[in-house]
Amino acid sequence: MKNKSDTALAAALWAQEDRLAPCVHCGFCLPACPTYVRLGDENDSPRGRLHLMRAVVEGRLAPDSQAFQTHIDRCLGCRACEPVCPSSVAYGVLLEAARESVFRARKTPFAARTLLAVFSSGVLTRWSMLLARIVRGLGFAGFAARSLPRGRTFHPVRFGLAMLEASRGRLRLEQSSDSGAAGASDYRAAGSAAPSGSVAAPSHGETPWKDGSRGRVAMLRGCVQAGLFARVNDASERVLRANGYQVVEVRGQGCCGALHTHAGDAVRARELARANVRALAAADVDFVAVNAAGCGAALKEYGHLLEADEECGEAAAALADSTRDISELIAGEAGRVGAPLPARVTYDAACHLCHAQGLREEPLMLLEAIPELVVLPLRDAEECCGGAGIYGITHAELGGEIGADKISAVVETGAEIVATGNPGCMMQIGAGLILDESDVITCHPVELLDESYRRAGFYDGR
Amino acid sequence: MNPVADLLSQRLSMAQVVDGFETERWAICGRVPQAVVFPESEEQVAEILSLSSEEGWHCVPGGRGSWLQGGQPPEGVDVLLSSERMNEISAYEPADLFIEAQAGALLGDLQRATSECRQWLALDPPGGGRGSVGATLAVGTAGPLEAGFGSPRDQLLGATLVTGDGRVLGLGGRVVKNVAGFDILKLVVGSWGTLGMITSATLRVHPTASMDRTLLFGAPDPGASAALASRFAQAPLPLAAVELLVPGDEESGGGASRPLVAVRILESEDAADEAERLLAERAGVAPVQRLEGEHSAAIFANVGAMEEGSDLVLRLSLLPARLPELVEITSQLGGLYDPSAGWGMRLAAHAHSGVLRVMIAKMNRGEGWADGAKDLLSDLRRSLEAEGGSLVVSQGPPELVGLLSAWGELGPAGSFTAGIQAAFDPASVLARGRMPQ
Amino acid sequence: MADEPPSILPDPLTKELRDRLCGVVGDAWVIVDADRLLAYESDGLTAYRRTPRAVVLPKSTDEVSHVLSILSQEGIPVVPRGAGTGLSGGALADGDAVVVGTARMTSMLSLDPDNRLARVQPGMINANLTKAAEPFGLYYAPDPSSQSACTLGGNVAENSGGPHCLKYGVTTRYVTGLTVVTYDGEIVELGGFGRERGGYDLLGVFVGSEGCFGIATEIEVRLLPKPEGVRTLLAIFDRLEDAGTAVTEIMAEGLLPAALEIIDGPTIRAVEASVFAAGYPTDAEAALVVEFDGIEAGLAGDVERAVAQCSRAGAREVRTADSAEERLALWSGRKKAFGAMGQIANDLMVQDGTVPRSKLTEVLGRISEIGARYDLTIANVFHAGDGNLHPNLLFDRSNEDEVARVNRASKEIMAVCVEAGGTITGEHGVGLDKRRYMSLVHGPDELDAMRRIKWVFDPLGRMNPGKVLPDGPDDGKEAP
Repeated sequence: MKNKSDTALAAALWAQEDRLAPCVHCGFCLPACPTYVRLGDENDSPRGRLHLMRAVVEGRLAPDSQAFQTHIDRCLGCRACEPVCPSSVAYGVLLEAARESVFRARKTPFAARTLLAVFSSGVLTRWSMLLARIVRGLGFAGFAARSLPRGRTFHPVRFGLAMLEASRGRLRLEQSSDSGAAGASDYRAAGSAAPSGSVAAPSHGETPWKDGSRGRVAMLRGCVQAGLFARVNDASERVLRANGYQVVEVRGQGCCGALHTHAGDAVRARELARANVRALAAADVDFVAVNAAGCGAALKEYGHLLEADEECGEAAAALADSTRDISELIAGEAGRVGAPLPARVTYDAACHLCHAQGLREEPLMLLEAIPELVVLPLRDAEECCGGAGIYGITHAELGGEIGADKISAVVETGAEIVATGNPGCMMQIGAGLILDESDVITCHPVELLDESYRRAGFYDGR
Repeated sequence: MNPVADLLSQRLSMAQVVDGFETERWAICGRVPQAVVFPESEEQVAEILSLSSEEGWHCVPGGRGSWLQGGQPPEGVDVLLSSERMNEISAYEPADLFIEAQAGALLGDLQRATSECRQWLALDPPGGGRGSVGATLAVGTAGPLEAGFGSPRDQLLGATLVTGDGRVLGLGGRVVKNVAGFDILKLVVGSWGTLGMITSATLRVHPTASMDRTLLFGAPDPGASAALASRFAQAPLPLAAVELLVPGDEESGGGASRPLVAVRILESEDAADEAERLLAERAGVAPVQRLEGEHSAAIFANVGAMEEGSDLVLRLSLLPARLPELVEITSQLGGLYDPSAGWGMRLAAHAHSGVLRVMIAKMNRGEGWADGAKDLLSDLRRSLEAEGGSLVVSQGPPELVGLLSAWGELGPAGSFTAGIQAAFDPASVLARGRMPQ
Repeated sequence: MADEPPSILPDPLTKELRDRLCGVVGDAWVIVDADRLLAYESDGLTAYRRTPRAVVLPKSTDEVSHVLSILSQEGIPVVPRGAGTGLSGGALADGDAVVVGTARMTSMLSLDPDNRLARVQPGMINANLTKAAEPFGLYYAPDPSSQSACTLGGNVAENSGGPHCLKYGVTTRYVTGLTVVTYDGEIVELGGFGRERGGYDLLGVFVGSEGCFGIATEIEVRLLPKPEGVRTLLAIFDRLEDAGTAVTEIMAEGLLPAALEIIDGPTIRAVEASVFAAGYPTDAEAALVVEFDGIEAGLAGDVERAVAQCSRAGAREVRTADSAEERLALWSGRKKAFGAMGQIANDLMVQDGTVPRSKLTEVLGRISEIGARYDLTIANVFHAGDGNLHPNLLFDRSNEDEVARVNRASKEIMAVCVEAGGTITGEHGVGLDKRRYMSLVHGPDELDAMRRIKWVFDPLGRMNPGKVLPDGPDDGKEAP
């Protein structure tokens, strides 16, 4: 059964054989897996996928077989299986290796290939993001998304437009005359009045910590984050400064490569990673702050991704060690308390924060520290929203089902705002809410903190 | 000596076989056995059963003879097997929490033996401590303690069964957790002697709680007491038993006595105090009486024995939360009994399982009474079954029992009955007719 | 364990048959592609690999009934499967059998807090039932260690136990009714709460029948009120015997803990060396976890008495926990033991014998002697309160000699348990793996009686064939 080409294709998995061994097939991961829970097929469970990987390693299954491709593809990559694994199987790493085998074995669909190519090039990324902003700015994306007929044919376009619309900053809280009453009157959707997409010049606010005494921080600006969520980057920067960090500008950084890794394009992922390591390592900072969960998880795994890289390996590991999610830097006792923000918010835990980075409490602490902000618990908050990169487009039906469950959980809470720490999740949940004609607004937790600081006057006189 | 007794005495010793008038006290619903035998070992039981297979006799295991009238009468009784001479406690390991006894040992004897090591058996079948181990299991009926400890099937760890064709099967074991093979021991419990004769059993024992306390709560009428009992059963407390007791019309001299709810708590003293406080809060009243230690045990022993002397005992059931409805239904039974005889009709109900026992001292025996009672009870059974409940004629006068089966229909599950019997008793010598088909 | 060479792939189903099955459950839920069947070749016991002929995933009682009548018309054997977490190979399809899985039957059918009853589909996860009952102050008592993943249907099939069975009993005590589908597709109701039935306890014998009688498609269970309070203590001992003494003395005190668990020295060291390190001292030879639950007011006294007994038995240290987090910390070493061992050894054979409590120390001594004789590392984790031992034999499957030694040692361990008055399996079931040891504990007449009862439910012998009963002249054959 084993033949040369299969062996070459399976090389990435071969290299991870030791990481497969600890799986004792106990099945604890099954109920944690959003695809297994909905499909009931063990091939769509973490244990089943690991078993398929093992079969590839054992030469019993061809990496270009339909079964391997389908079930590896269908994984959301949410890694909810990792915290429940009693044997600590490094599922995420193994999945990447499997994806690499799959990627090499077959032609990736045109759309996905194009997307990956775009994000590999800084120039292309900037141009396409500009185009996206123009479409978004015209203000018809949401309208079009809602008016397109439902059904399979238009789904990708409909959903794509809705995602684009969802990336718009709709959060604009206004100081209520009666600040004690939390209610719909306390905020309004700001619509096209959202901040423009341009990256704001670094500014120097006053902080209680002199001269950025808490350390030098470089912000990972990201690709999508910089293109469509610049306001989140800006908010992060302001909030970091307000908390006593010195934020330094680092040029030469780009896409983190997470999308490529997840798609199995390890070659491009490593290229991108190397570029970031070079740029960020040179900046001599204490921390690299990331506000996109997926990118944060990717940076934290650079050490592993580049473990065989003689030139950059060490620096990559060091970079991984200094990487922090924005919430890690701000939450906790040292965090600065801003002005009251009377509103009801619920928090969706992005997979790459809670499962991949193990950050469960920090984002909630960040929100809970905002006076008068009511944080409502979200049912199955740690279950994947179905975003998973472009899953909603590549696996429309299943992604839609997973997304719909998340939307109903959000609506159930009665919150006005849903906060989540990853751009993909913000767009996925936001798109779902838009198509559901819901008024619930999607934002990043740091945007709420930023608004609270703004009201407190921390940024005044700049 | 009749031919049956004659043949049996050739195989066993003369002293182990009884015939003639002495067999009359072993009659089952008017069916007098031709011989009563008193085997002393499993081997003898096996021999008797093999012989009966050859001869085509009807054999009925009859334990110690205290529960012969219960349930559905067998088609015929040629040979009655008594367990009287197999009454030893064969092993008792307090540290391992089990006791092993021959089938003829009395529950009371086991309780005495275990109480010396501050342990006890959570078995309280109707009939109390006078019942034998074998009969308790063969009948399988639970008492009030089911609420806290489960029914007899949950107390049984292992048993020796001599099958209808004389095989000696050692089933289960001595340990609580045991999944080595199919749990056919469960079939033995409640099999009424139709699969074989139980010759010995291994039972779970429990450590005795430092406090045995029963609280009696009063209620103005049966309906209110049923509602109170349900409320207690739904309390988030580990109660050993919640029993509703409605005295008969003539008890305590003419209707002066009120219904009671007896709640038994087997805990440490601190926990019992706390449970009492919470129960009183739930009831809105304090208990009318608090009994502790042997007094607490005694009142529940009386609950077990209260069927004695009844002409008719019915077991009605619905889901436990519907206990008040079930009590209400008993008003339809007014015409069945003679209110001036004995206590008339009294009720006792296990609030956790929703089983209500109706005990009638003397049935009204007017013209066509048996047919009338049959019609009334059949209708009631139908209506209860339609609601997912049941009516069991636990014991009754032979005239009525001949007309009305003890249990309701088995439905499709009944299709397995014959196969199970054939697996244990291929020649069908054992207690034929005792199980519903 | 130590499997025979992988069997030759069974014949796929004919297209006509596949179409009929697809017609019942839908195309996506009939798996016939050989590659996709790989995921079903093992359950929680990976020593065996058996490829099923197909996997069918129905959604309801009716679908199960249709699927089974189609398969029985063709005489194709059926193997029920839940989450595949079993440790005895019970969910593996031997020969030409088709797996019928309950993974899509996960619904709560009804929850009746007043009567403390729930009716669920068999694919519901054990822990999800407790989660659903929680708002009503209720929970489902049997808690197998795999409760976060195992299904209630699997629990019914195996009559599962768990750490808290000591006080609360095993699955069979909590199952009050079942809807089952027999091999020929017939739907039968067994039991049902609120009703006293005459007739044999078919419900009781079905529970624990390991899928050999039929498939349970609806399960009615009794729930219990959540205990008002819980207290946990952890005692550390220098000698395993002393922990055993403490267990005996705690029981002799008349205390009935909700759980009494011991992990031995090798296990402690495995846990502490893993990412699950729980802060147990690595030079200790036993850690005893004792848990009490019930009415809050009574717990302090119970704990005090248990602590005194542990100290008297020679505990070097006793830690108590009051808060939920502290309790979790004390339990973590016990709960993560299995996974931790998975990290120190490539392969793991876990045994499941049960012995009378008073024989624990003696039997553990003999097990360690067996381990030494066969040069194997054996780490013990066990439910000390009910005498249920879980010796974990660590090995590497690529080492043939070691595999053979594990086999021989396993058999000896089981024989020791039986000799001590116990049995070969307390909660994992016989399945495929332990049927060859059945004759250690049952005579030919008892095995024959079991076989005859199987035939009552499954006269053709095609429900989960090749499981539970050892190979006899009639094994897996039709009833005469």
